[in-house]
Amino acid sequence: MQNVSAPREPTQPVLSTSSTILSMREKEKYIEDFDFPFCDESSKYEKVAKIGQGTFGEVFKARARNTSKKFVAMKKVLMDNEKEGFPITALREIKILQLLKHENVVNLIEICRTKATLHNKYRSTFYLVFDFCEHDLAGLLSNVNVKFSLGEIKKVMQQLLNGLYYIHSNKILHRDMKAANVLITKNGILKLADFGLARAFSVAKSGTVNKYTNRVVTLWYRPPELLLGTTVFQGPTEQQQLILISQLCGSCTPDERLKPYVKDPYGCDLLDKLLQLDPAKRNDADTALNHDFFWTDPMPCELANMLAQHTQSMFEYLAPPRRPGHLRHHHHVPGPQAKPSQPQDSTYQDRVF
Amino acid sequence: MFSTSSQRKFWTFSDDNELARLRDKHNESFITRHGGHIEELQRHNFFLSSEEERLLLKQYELHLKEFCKRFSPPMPKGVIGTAFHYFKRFYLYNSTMDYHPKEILATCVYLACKVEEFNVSIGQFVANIKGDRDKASDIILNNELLLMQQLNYHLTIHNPFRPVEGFLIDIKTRCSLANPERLRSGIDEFLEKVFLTDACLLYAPSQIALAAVLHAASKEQENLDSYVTDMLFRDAGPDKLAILIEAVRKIRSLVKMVESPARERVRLIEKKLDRCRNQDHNPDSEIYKRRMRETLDEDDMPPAGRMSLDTSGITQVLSPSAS
Repeated sequence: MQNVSAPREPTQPVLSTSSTILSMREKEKYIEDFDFPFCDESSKYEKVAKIGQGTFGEVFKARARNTSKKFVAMKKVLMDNEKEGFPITALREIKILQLLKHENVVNLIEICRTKATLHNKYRSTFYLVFDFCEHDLAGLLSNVNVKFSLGEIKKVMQQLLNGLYYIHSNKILHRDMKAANVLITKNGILKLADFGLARAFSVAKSGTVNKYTNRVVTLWYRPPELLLGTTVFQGPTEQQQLILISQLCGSCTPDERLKPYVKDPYGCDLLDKLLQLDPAKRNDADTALNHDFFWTDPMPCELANMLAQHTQSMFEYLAPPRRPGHLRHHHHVPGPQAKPSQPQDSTYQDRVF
Repeated sequence: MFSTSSQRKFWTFSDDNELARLRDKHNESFITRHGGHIEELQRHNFFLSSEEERLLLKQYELHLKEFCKRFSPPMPKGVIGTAFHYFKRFYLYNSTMDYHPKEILATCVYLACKVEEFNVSIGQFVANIKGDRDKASDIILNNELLLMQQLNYHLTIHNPFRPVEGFLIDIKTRCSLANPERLRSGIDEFLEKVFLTDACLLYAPSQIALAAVLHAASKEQENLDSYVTDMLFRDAGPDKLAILIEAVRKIRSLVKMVESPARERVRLIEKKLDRCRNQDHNPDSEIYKRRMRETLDEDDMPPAGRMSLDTSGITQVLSPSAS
């Protein structure tokens, strides 16, 4: 097929560029047949259901059309409103997940695209394709029929901290840790997911401070230093800084209010160390993994047996609304009542950018 | 870690013959695709040869260097290194006749800015480009996806700048060299030139960094041979040391051979390229303009065409089975 202005035979003069006009059909065929050797078409997967709403687009459960019939999760990269090209959040996620390969971090299989055709105005839609995980922690916790034993709770926490230790060792901050972003397979393997807000960090050189935005982490889960902005806590000494935090947030001593809810004394102690108001005194993942909570009876035990009792996938997105009358998802709302000005998924209303 | 990176696995090649084979293959592929109906001799005169493509790309690598140097706000070295990597990788698998280097060059720099967290908006970016900035912005954003796909989404680049810092710290700690900081200017000059060669497609960043340090030392009439043999590679076998010495020697000779292509020759190649380039990817061609008009003009679309591919997605979501 001729796309360039080349002479048809030796006797003809070289044609000017403007004289090469392709027929409409030829041009369409050219674009439709264009080969991206590294980027498969999304049609190799068949969508089964929408299972979530990620940082930069919807997430679908899909099945491979090949003989494996393997289930995957496809995260759509929304580019409709992108004035800056490919979203930097998606770029970060791709870059970071190519670096992170660990049992407790979600596995990015590939990036694929829809075929560019007249119907989509020759603009491909891109998908990040992940190994499928059957549940997320928020979905499991919102189901009254799912009951974790103390050993299972320990296993969840242990895997969570293992994943965090690994990503922090690789100098990555997740910056959106919450139950909805903690996936669990039917075999009970926990995976940290949604690295759309994650970024690499560098250790500051002496005498300088690396400044990163504090406008991260879904509002409910923000630690006080991000919630209030670090400048609030700039006391001249660590002691005075601690006093400032205490004045704003209350006492830094172990919280008696936890005890009725957390029966295990080791669990209570670990929580207290993880929820220290002063970030300098807060336990990191490595220290937390060495806490007695994980090394006393009942020891951490596998989740597979408990999860085997539940054949339905449980995701926060699919969970019924928590409060009566509180409509969580747009597809539950009858047409005329839906307000276009509101975000479609209210679980994402609480993120402030 | 470089040792487990996509850069090492997919983008570090055995020798320059392998690079030449890849480039020749894609040059021939373009000519076969677009000039199958032309007689051999005519074909040779009409299309760019592999060697002409190389010369043209050498010229555009110089443009890339200058563009980054003049960029405002000042561009970190890491961004420049990453942009060079992207540019070189892209043209291993594509012909300049398919995608004009001036367009890919700007796209490589823009993508590198994003990946290396050098946050400039597309508006700020095109403010550094002469001419029609709206058009430049459209070209860059249209090519960004193409570039990412052709890079196989391997966006993380290991540059030699960090290993250089490591070597300097190590030399200060374990070596008797007086004031190692004076090596910096020689190192910077070497690394600036190294990106005008194929070294980053053939050698590890740490090997390039060591070559830069040794080059800078010899410029200062210093000898760091004993540092390499007795300290760095004291416990390594003679085979490993021999491989390293050979790599450093080759990197330094590549840098020594860097020269600007003859301007007149490049001008003729540019003229030839204007005639033989793929008009489907030429933003100034009627074909391209017509396609852009169609993608933007809703009224030209059949009703089904206005719908995004995924609006057929499930509206009433049932909890999927965990099987």
